[in-house]
Amino acid sequence: MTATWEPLPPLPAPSRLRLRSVLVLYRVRLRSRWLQELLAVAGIAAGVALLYAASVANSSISGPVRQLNQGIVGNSQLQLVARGADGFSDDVYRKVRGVPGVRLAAPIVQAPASLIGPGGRRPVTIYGSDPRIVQFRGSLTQGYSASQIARQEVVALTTSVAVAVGLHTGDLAHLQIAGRDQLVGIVVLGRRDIGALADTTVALAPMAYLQGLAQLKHRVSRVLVETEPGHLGAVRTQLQRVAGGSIDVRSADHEPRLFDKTSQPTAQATMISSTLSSLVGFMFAACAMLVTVAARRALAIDLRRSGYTSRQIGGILLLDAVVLGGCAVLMGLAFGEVLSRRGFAADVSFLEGAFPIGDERVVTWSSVAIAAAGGLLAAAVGVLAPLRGVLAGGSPVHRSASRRQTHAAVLTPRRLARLGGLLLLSASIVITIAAPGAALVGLIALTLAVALLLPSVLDAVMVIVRWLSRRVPHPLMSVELALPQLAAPTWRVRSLAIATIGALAVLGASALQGARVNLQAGLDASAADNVRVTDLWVAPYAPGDLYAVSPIPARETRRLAATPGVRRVSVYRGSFLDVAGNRAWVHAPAPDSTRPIPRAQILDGSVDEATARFRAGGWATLSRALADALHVRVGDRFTLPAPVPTNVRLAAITTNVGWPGGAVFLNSDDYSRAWGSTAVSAYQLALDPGVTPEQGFAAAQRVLGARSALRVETVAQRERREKAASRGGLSRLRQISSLMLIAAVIAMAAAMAGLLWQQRSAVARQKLDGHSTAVMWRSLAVESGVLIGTGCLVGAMASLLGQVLFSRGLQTISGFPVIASVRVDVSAVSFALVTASALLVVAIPGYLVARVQPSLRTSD
Amino acid sequence: MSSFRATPAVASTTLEFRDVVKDYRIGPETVRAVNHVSLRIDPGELVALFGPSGSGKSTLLMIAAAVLGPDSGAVYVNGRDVTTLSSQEASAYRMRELGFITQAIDLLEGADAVTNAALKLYGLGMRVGPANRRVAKMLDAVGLGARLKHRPYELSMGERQRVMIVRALSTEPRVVLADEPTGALDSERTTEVLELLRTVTTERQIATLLVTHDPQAAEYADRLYTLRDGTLAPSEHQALPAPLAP
Repeated sequence: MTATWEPLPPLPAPSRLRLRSVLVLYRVRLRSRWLQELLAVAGIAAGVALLYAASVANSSISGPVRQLNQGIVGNSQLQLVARGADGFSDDVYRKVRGVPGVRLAAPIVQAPASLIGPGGRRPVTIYGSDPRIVQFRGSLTQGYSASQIARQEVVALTTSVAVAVGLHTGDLAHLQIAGRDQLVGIVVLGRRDIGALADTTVALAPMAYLQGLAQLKHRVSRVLVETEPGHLGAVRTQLQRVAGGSIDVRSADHEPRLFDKTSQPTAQATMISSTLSSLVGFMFAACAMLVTVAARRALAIDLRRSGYTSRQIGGILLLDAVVLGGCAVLMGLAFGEVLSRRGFAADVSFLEGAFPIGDERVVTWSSVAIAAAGGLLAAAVGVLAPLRGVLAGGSPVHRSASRRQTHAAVLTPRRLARLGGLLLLSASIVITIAAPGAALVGLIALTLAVALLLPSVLDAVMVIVRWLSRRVPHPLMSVELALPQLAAPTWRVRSLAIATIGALAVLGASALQGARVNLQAGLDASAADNVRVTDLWVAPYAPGDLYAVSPIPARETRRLAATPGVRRVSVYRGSFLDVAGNRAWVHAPAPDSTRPIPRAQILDGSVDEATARFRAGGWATLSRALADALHVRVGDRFTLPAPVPTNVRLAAITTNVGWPGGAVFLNSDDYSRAWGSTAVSAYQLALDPGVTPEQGFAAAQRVLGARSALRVETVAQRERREKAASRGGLSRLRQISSLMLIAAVIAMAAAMAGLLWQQRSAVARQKLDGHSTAVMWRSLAVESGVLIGTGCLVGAMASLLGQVLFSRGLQTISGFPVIASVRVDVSAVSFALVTASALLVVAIPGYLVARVQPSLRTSD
Repeated sequence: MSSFRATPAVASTTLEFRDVVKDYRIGPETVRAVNHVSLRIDPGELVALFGPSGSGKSTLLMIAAAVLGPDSGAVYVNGRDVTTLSSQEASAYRMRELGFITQAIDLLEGADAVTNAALKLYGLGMRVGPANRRVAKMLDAVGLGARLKHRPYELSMGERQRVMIVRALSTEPRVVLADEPTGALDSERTTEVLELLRTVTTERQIATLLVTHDPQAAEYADRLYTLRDGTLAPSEHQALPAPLAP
């Protein structure tokens, strides 16, 4: 053979690698391993979806509150806010207008109500103002006033409310407000009128009309203020003088800021779980990329041998990361969007009584950016990290030599990993016992510990499986074929990646789910404590009526006392009150209530002593966070910032009884003095002996009549509702843990399928030895089972610690009544679910691989 | 010292190993892969290196390619010690001065013959079009003119190996290192590949080091050596290992 080609033109001077060359190389690589790449994309996409959905759910909590507040307050900077539902005299408004430096001022009345339409009943907060508020340019009030209905005596509903109760413009509807049922005309405000606020659950009415409906003549709830430039400080001081210590002077964005603070315990709980799920999602993505590491390593070695520089190889591989990561991000965002719309939304309806909550989904650029950056980073790490030796100019060209070197070098890192894993595990145990407040750090340490210890555990499992297989009289061919494959150094990284995905998924999901179950148990116990103090509850229908915080005139006491079968009627008062920067839930049962302070919720102080003090009056309890914020201990005196500021002493410190803003207990007489009102929030009916709750329920309903603005509930009904509300509040923890399991199954199945697919050559060669398709399939199943099973088992075991750690963390950080126990059942279910699902999914590619024709194929 | 030939002063366009030593640590043990090897290959000369598996042949090639560093000794190419090159300089050396031929399984599966052969030229920064035209001429010259757009699995093993050789020669290197290039070929294809190597070595005045198990190589080599336990010794054709059964 000759090689007499024409003289070649001289080579150009070396220059930078051209983009087209990089693209050509990418295209040819993609042609030969599109399936593995697709599986890696699926794995990353699962992680991205998890990141995105969690992030959107987070931003959707406070977003609507912020939007709604902005829609009302507009450009105002300051506001005077009433401490009670009765508001304050509109004289204050006139005084505010006279304050030097005040450019604009406008009053607002707000009242809780319940609206009844053909489609059902809906609690709603009604805001009333007059045309002066338009000057603040809030989108809600602006749109309302522009719709030419602000001077008519009608109630304007947002589309969201109107649709929920089946009302249209021009309809008449029953409005239950201030304990009375009234017929009102309806107007619906759509997106054209008020933009995105059409999705919020509020209503609007002319101020004078609402004052009449709510029996708040000459009373206002807030006064919004805009100052002349440079007069903010001076005006604030003057407003405080006008407020006189019984009205709060706040900045215009006080409501969303208070919401953020009140929902902080919930947000912290979800933040921990979101961070954990993000970490797991990121590691899913990175692990999914490791599955394709062999092909990239071979390419990098080939290129290096051909003279490519590390920079060139890095650039070529980075394109892999960009393309793969980009596709995965797009797919993940689409999947995450579907998840976020269908069931991964934040359910914060339990906060509805204290804040105007919208059910709008808020997608911010940061949610998209976080998810996209996570996906791309995972792809880059997955592509480049395993090849850092090659990229650093190492010497992996000669495979046998490199293997020998690698083998020698791996010993130390493996020991280091084991040591690091044990240290991190110890750290997470110490945090669980001594510093549960650092739960997030502990959970991250535990996650990393699992990732570092898994290789050693996998080795141990393989030894055990081998030992067990030796005990069987006839050799198990599938095991004999699978174990060497698992032990092969070339597959090591990929095998570990798959096992790690399983471990992290089960760990994350079980820790979250276990903690949620523990928290739910605590909240259920708290709900029972709150509700089981009487036989029947009678409270007005209104936003947050579960908390009995909407005052009504106490005119039903006699009628209810005359109900057949009712032995006694007690008055219950309650409201939300801003204490130490938190919106606290104030409980004010009658002094002679059976168990006025829930025994199980007391953290500091004697139950009997606290109850005696409560009955005597002049004492109150605070939840831990509130007591800490006010720097008071049991027995100390403090001022309750009620409409009439009142000095009381601390009888005991409690949990937050399930309300994230904290709780206050005082007797209803003290409450009446401090709020300057005899209004009640609920009636507690004790039944005669022998009268069943159902009989009492029916009798009370008959007495009140069908159109009553009051809802009668048995203890069982109310407890069920309270538990449902708390479940709603915890729904995101459940959704995150479920999503983590789904993402894990996808990521693991994708990675495992990729791994199996790469074994076609090996299987083809082994079939030359006469192994049947069935044996090869079983062998692949054993391989998948050992990897997935070991990973998930390690994750399940670690999750037992994770549950306790997370539960104790929630207890410490949030003040929620958590029962910190180990839920083996939760871990076992997660383990079984992920293992079985992943094995079922990989059975199909396993079968396809096992069917490959016997051959001497030397590459895939 | 087990060098076969005394080492004269360094001349240009030669490949010269000088007293090269390389050890590997395997757990607590140290294994000597290359034991004081000295060898000089002049332009136009094809030297065949035989030896059993694990004898250090490929390690020697890696050291010559400046991928592995020796524990001691030096390798001179065109008067420059390539064992002292930085990572960047080593890449440039492999790109411009060296052609590395491995078994054809290293071809990119998804790429056609032209793209596979042009891989080095892309790395040099050449435009795709001119690079492809350049290697197309070379592929035509080695009998693959009708197979330019074929992918590796559409080529015979001998054809794949020729693609690999064209890739190595595409930058007109002065030194060629061939690592078992006929390892996966039948006798007829082996002859073709060895003939091609012989031809380009002579015509292009290349210093070629051929690592092989194949006894046929003896017919095409100017000199034969055997590497056993890292030690280089002159080889007799009769002393070569028996060919592997097909």
